[in-house]
Amino acid sequence: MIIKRFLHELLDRVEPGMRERLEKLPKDNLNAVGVDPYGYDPKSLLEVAPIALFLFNHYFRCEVFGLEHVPGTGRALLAGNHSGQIPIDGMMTGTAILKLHPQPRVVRGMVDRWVASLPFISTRYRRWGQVIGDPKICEGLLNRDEMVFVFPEGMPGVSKLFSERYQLKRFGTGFVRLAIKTQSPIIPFAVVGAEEQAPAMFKLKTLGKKLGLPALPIILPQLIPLPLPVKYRIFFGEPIAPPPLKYLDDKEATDEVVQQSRKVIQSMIAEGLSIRQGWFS
Amino acid sequence: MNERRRREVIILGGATGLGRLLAGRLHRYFNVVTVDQLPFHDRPRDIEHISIQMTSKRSREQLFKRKPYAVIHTGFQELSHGRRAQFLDRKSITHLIQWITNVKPKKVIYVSSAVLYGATVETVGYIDESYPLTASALTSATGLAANADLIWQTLFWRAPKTQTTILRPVSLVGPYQNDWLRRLLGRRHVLGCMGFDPLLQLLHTDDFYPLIAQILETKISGIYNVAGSGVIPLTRLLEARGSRPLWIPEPLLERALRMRNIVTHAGDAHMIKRFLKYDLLVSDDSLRQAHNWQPYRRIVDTATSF
Repeated sequence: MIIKRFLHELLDRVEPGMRERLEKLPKDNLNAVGVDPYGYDPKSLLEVAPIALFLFNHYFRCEVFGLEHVPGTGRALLAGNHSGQIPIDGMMTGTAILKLHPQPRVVRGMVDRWVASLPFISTRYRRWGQVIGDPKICEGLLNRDEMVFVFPEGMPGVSKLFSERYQLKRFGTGFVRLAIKTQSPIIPFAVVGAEEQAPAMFKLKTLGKKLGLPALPIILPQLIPLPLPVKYRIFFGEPIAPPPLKYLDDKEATDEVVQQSRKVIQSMIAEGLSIRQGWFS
Repeated sequence: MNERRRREVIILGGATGLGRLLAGRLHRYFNVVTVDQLPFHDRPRDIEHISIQMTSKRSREQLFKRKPYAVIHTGFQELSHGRRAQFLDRKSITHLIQWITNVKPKKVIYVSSAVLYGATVETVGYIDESYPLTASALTSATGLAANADLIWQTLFWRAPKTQTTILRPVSLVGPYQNDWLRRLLGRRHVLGCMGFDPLLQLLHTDDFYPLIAQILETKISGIYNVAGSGVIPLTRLLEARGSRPLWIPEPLLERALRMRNIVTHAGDAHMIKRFLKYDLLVSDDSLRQAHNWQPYRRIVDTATSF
């Protein structure tokens, strides 16, 4: 009870009005004990919201463009570039929708399988709406009219080296197949700024494998154990309608949507890079 | 009703647990014969009970001379009660399958368990009936039960005229269930794996019984998961039951489970530790869609009912 009151007060101090927004979150998919079939509990967001909002408002000073393209209800795939070694870009994009969208909603993120074996973290992630990255789960969420994050570059995107910054890696096609299967629109988004928060100089592939980690980059802020306070710019593009269901196994149609999404994301990155003056402004 | 009463339903493992519950419910509609190594003293008068030892040929003959309408095998549930699982023994199953192939009952229901899928880091999302029974490698008991599940599946081609249904319910709870889950959750301070709060699926036997009754009256054959109504995190379940969690660090959990007599074997403790660490969620969409089945109790009511 004391902890809850403390979190309420903290949240009110960090972002007045946010508590009301959290209470407005859709509850259609929750059962009698207040969790959805994947363990998400909107009340648990109170634990992470003060930190996320502090990072959003003060640390990364996020600026958001094109939020009107994000639907307030219904299923959607939010597909964007992934970068920065630590997946803060996803957290900030989700916070943008939670804080600024006229109809706040939680975007369901996907985490790697090995996260399920981490004590404390696995439980908290799930309560906050994150799920294990599995096409079946993603499909289940979309069928429940949720909005889901996908990063078509996958792990190579988030762990790319500083020398490869803002160069999109090869896109997988799974997200388009999911969009076709569930008839969900794809909302492209791009995050500019995250690439410089933790510049990776090189990767220790063998050691990473031995430790069971998906990647082990050697990054500059390992000297200072925090990401750099770069400025984030988040861009949302116009929704891309999925091809009709009959094109589910049509490689050509799938590739076309993949390329279209990639092009839109790349152009939003270029726009973001053109308007910024430096890493921190 | 009279015609129904003449139909004989044999319940293997019918003196305790789920078998006992089924016998108590079905005897009003069928001529119920319970078969078990244990006696069934306080049974209703119209239930016939046969105490047998499957290892004895003479004892087996008592069962094998009958020609029932349906055979219900409580399978994995038999193991949960810590008895010698005589109906899961490979030799016994071979005899049973041979008998069923000969007498060709109209229906065979084998109650397996979704626990046999095994909770691992790989079991993400809602798994369906095609997922392998990975818990078979964990303990000799689960190995036995998974093996039995597979052998009973051979009836689909060995006795194609018999309507065979294999059910894999999630953790069953109810008045006659006295398994490790009840021993674990039925205490004031419940052991948990520190840092993990798994999602649980529970099914009340009162919700499960109508499904068995439905199968006996309709044409439902195949392999089906039975998932109950929704999921509940362990911590919420304990809150609802008024219990408190006792979080034990993972390396000490197996020992703690054995010290508290939740289980006796190291393998079983290992299986339960994984159950307390990872989610094991199954989908029963195929059963719901094909046969319009759904449980009546809400998950909270199920969680607080035992």
